[in-house]
Amino acid sequence: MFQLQLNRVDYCQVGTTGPKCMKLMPSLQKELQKVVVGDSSGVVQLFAIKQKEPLNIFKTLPSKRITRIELSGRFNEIYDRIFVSSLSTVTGYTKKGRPFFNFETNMTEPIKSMRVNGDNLCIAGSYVFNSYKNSVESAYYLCPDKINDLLLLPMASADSKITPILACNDRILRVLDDSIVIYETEVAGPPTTLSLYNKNGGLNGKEILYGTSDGKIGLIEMNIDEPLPKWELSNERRLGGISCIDSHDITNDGIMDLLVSREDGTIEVYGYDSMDNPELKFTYNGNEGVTSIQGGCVGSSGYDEIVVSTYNGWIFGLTTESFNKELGNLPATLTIDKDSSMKMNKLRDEIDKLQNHVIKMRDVYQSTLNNAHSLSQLKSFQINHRFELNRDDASYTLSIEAEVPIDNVLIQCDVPIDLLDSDKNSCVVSYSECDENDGNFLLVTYRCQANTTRLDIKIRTIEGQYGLLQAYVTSRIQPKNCLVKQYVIKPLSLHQRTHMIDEKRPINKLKLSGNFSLAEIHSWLHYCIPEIPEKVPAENEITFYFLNTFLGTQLEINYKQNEATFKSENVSTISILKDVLSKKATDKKVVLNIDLETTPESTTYTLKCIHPMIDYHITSLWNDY
Amino acid sequence: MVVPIFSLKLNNKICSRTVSIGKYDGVHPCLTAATLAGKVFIHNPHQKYTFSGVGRTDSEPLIDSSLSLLNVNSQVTSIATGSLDASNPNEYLFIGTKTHILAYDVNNNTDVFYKELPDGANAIKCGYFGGIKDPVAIVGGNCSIMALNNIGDEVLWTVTGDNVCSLELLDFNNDSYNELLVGSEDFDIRVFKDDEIINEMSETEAILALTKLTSNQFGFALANGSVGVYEKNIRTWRIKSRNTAMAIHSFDINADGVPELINGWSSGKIDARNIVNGEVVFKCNMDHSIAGITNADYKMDGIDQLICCSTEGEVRGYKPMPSDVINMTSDRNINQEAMRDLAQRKQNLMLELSNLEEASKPSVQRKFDDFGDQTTGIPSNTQIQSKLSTRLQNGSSRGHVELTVVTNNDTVIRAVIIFAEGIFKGESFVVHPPANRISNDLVVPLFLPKDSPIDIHMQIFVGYENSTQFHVIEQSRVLPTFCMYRRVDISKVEEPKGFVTFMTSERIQRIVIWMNYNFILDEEYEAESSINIGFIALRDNKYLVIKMELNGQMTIKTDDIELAGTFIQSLCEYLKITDLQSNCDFPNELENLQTVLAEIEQFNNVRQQLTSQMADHSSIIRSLVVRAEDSRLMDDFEGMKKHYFELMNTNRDLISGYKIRSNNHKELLNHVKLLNQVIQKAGNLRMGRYKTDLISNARQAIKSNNSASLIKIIKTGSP
Repeated sequence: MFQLQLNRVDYCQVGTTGPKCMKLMPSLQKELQKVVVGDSSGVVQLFAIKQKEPLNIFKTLPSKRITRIELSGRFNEIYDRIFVSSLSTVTGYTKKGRPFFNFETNMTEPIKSMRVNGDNLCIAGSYVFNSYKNSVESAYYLCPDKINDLLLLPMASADSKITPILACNDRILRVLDDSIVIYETEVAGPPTTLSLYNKNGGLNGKEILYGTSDGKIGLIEMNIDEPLPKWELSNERRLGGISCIDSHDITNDGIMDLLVSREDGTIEVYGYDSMDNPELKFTYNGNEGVTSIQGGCVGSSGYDEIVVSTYNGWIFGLTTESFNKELGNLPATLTIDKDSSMKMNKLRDEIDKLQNHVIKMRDVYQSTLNNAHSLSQLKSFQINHRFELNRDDASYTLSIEAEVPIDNVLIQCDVPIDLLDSDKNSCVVSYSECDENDGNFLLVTYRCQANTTRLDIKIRTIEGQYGLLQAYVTSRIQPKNCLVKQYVIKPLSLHQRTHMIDEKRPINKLKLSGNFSLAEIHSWLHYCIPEIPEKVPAENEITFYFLNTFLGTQLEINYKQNEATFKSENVSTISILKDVLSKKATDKKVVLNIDLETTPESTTYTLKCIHPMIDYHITSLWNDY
Repeated sequence: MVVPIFSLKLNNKICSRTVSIGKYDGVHPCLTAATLAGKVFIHNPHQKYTFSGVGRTDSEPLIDSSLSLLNVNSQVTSIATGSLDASNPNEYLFIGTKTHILAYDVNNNTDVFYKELPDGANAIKCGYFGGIKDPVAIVGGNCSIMALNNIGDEVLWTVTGDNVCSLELLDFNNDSYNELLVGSEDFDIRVFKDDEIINEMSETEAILALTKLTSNQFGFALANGSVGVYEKNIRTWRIKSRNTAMAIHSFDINADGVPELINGWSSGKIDARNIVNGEVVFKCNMDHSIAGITNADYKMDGIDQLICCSTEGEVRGYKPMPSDVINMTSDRNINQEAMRDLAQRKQNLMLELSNLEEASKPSVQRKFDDFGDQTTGIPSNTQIQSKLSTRLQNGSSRGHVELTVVTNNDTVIRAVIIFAEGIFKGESFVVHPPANRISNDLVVPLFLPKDSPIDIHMQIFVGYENSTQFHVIEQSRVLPTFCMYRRVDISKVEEPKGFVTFMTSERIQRIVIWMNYNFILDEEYEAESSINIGFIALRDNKYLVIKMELNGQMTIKTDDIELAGTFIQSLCEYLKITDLQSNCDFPNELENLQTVLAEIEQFNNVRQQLTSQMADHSSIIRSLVVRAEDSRLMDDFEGMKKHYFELMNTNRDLISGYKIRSNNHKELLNHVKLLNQVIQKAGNLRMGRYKTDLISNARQAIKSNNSASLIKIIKTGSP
């Protein structure tokens, strides 16, 4: 089998980057492509690679954090206009760096995602979607759950209507026509990124690729009236969530390959077999979270490569060019090494100078310490973090990535939870003894090795035990400071939204009635169950379905003003809901009428669900013996 | 990454830490290791050995003709190779099991000696030791160390604090004689010059491996994943990984004339570290956990290779290469990595610079920074004061040392993380009070299991209530050796029965200084002409009384012989006393010792009895088998059944007998260990040659089974 071999080449380091903040400029003739990247300090820069060194073509001044970079142009022309979004502004630059467009949107939320197509500009915040045609608002949609990404299907002609697709956190892709949803389709996990299949949406221009936060990838054809799912890749290797997808013919066989990057730093290349199903060709294991990935030709002509930007701002290529020249061919390698040793010496000099400067600054800092009136202010560092439930193994993954090296992370929790061992991190884990009377059920330190910037921790919660998990992240940079991040563990923490349930199971029913508003009951439920949107949906009567990822039992909730009904075959789920909701109601001084119907068969059914799992663990325990 | 110059698959699982290279014919190196199945294999690619028809060694159908297998039929605990005769270049193979040691001459296919060791052989090292003229094999067992000469006679015997895990020979004090380094399960590395301990270094876990680097530098590996380097008794560096170091070795991989410390990890990683600063100069990966690392000229081309073995039987050899050659001829990745490291360092420095600039700006308090995150400024002169005090057992809380940290203004302490080795379950201890009880002071209880000085490193999170960002203030402190003792009024002390007394010519003032330094005293202790001070142990509420007269007679009263020993060792180290004799009496301990001795005798009797029983049974079995077979041949099935039935019963008896024997043996080992420990503790009450004398006298007394003499030796130091 043809083995794909890619080698890493580092180009440069910019500030921390957000997702999809790096793009490759199209090339006119056969010349090398240029890289445009925007970072958190607001700098947008376009550079080319000349003799392995980045050469800036333009670089803007620092301003607000860049959230997206898109390339566009007139219909059927080359897309070489750079559109940059930050906070609520969209700015356009020409390939020479001249700003030609500056649009202050009327968004109340910071822009999270953006697409440009001809004279259509579509942007989305956390919940709001807006589209503009020639800078005039043309559509508006308020989404019931968080919008993670946005995609426009290719247009047939310059004047045809745009079809925006929203990737929403409730596992749904929403297809819009102006301001209304044409249809919704559920995918395997919360979609985080969308991309056109083969860059053009396939034959009909309607096929899109999606990646989910639990590491799955799928292809789906978004026809006018209904979707047609093509394939889906599960995440068997338990890798991180998908951060970016691109298509590029890296294997040079005439067929576009699928390039996938993940938040844990893994980069994968998939080819397609004769049935058009993807098969893995190459994996690169990085240790920094990847924010965007693009296929192209940047470093040396004739050699395709994957250009990658990481959260920490590294821009590097995975190139098909081979550096492992034969041993006999020493001169060639020697020249390369002279280059790099010169580079290294230059860097070393810079470091020495900086070191001296730092020592001086330390003295200055020390002298300010004696001043009783001044304040010692610490610059906060940024961390990118996520606390999410995985459906496959019913555990939460807490991933923390900082822009600075991490010294240690202290995890504190006020309810009992289990930490599962994760092979990926090289930290020294130490459990501290803790006193439950002090509200500490768990105190664990993760001491990191030098230059660690990301950490993944797997956590198994216990349903019914709800509380707060806190992570104290201490940076390694002097003077040290530490950020606290808090994560709520909800009473039904292992439940996940689903859109379909099995109606045949025997059920227990809990009916609550009393004098409460829809907003009240919604906020109580938001407190109890994950993945209930923060905002109250517009309907008068709301139904949600949930799946217990650990035991496979299900839960149906249905609520309106003054009444709420819960159905589940798992009596524990019902009992937890009853306890928590009645407590919440008492806090609000609302009198609840509780009506409980239990069926004995449901318990047998639930136990039957659990039995194979217990069996499995017993046998695996024996095998370990 | 360096490409191995050879790679073999031996198709035999290798037991960790039992890999050695022996030149059995004096010329050709052979890789030797123990397998999991109680066998030892010798890999000799240069010539073939045949073990046909040898007593204990059955020849086996071999997978690889260059591989020979020896059956030991018992779990191999250690392997060593070396010569015991300066005039003979042929090396012997030493195989240690839980009960025996076998010295084997591979070249001539003969046993050199086979000796029973009640303490087992956890580690074997072969070489020149101290003033002994010929090389010896040094065997470390449960608390005991012995040196054997080329006919298996014991030329030296001594004890150490706990089970021996690792041994190494090197010239520690540059006197051109080798000293013995012993790593044991009580976290100590001890240096023996002949049978006298000349230095002791405390680590934080059991010392799994020791290796000589240069004449007085050595590397060590601990059970908690630490590896590091000592130069004499000073640790130059130490790093900790989440994996365990399975093997360490000294080898000059980058051909710069200085050996590197090569570490093989349980994850299959191998790295070479600079011995001065611990920087990684070389690394590679194997598919399975590393079982052993050694070096030899395995290709017979005049250059030694580094040989790494994995537990699955994979062997790889690496050739030393100058580091620039490593970079040039191999992957560009190393260069890239180095560049990335440098760039990262630059980035870090720049971040630190901007942090410092921010922090030293005379600033007004801002609520939010550029990213909308809340920032917290604390007054620049915020300082942390930490104080140690002792707390007696009170109700359910055990006695402990209390560390109080206080800020000097209205800032609060959110949490404290304390990193220290050996005193917590893990490496850290966290105090995180509930949100409603945060204040500007915080109390950390510390429970110290051992009397030894401990470095603690504190990270204190300082800020305001409801802050989401805290300043981390770091502090280090040393906990005094005897911090688990609290001073009490001497008049209320119930004096312990046990005591040790000795004479010193030191001035009282110096001893007072030493005491102020090594105990936590609420106020400085002062004494002019005599010392009379009482302490209570926080661990068990027992008393300790220290007395000193004007004439220099010092008495330490305690029932804990170990405490008295630590006390004397620590004091002598401070006062630079090299030789010290003392008298002691510890009625409780000595009474215990007598029971131990009696029980050892009893166990020995039981063992003899059981052995004779076993011999009886086996002769019965033999005759039963013969008779049953006879009956079968004569078609007497009735009789055959009867005999086989009897056979089954006797067999059952034999098995239950074995179980009793094995339990008995286990008990015996425990008691022998106790005995060895008592001698070691008694030794610690003396210094220098008095200590050596005591240990060798005690050994004599045990050999001659003279318990009265042993007790007298412990009390007075001489028979």
